[in-house]
Amino acid sequence: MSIAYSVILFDSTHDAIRAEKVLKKELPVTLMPVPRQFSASCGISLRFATELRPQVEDLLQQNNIPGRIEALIS
Amino acid sequence: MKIVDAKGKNCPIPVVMTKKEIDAGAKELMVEVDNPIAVQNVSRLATAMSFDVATEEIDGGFRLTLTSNGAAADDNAVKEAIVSAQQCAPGGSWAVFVGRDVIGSGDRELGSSLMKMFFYTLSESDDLPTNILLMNDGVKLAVNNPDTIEHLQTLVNKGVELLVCGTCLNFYGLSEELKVGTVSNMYDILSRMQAATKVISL
Repeated sequence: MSIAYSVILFDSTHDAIRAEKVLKKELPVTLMPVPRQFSASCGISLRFATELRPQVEDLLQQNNIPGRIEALIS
Repeated sequence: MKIVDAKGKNCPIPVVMTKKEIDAGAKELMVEVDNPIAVQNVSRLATAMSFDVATEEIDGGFRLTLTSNGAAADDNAVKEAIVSAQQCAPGGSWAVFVGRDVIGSGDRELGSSLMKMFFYTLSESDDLPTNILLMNDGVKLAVNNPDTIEHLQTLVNKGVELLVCGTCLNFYGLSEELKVGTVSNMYDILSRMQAATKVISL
């Protein structure tokens, strides 16, 4: 088993859309539906390569966007 | 000689894999498939592309040996071979018609996010449409939206035919800027709808 990629989950759709705008300027992220195994969140998530996690966390913090990061295993 | 292993692949994938090798310049290749329909589809494509075909049974399927006979490919026959291979996709053939650049009415930003997620999810799915048909604002998904362009490219690479309304590109002044898909017209778009078991409109 290995980590396939990571996603950011949000409570609010507005946070998800704002995070996409902010992160997209700096990093490759892809908007995707929240993976089925994480039911509790707003439905929109952002997919990114796991090695970018530190930059992603920094950008979310700098812009005051609350989001939870989960790694997906394949 | 290059061997293409297309066993276990649903149609039209064996045809797409074969065409990729031939397009890349292969003059001789072997294609292995696991069902007679795939034998038929690959043979039809190979013949259209001016290859001689020899078929033999092997353990777990069939091996087709394709040898170029040097003649030019018959482009129309190639197109027909691909369309016919697409018809036997699991669940029948279906098409997606997109007439807008957002999903639903309401907030445009939300609608645009939903559209990106739709094509991401579709591109990851095992049951792919035969065709995606873009008209009016829908053509912009293949022109100026990097996310949908990427997902559409993935779908095209997997064998989905993407037809983009040329009249619409022209109207919006985007004819030179199409990033993915084939410029098409009302006749072809209508014929794909008529051939599909179902058409999903967005």
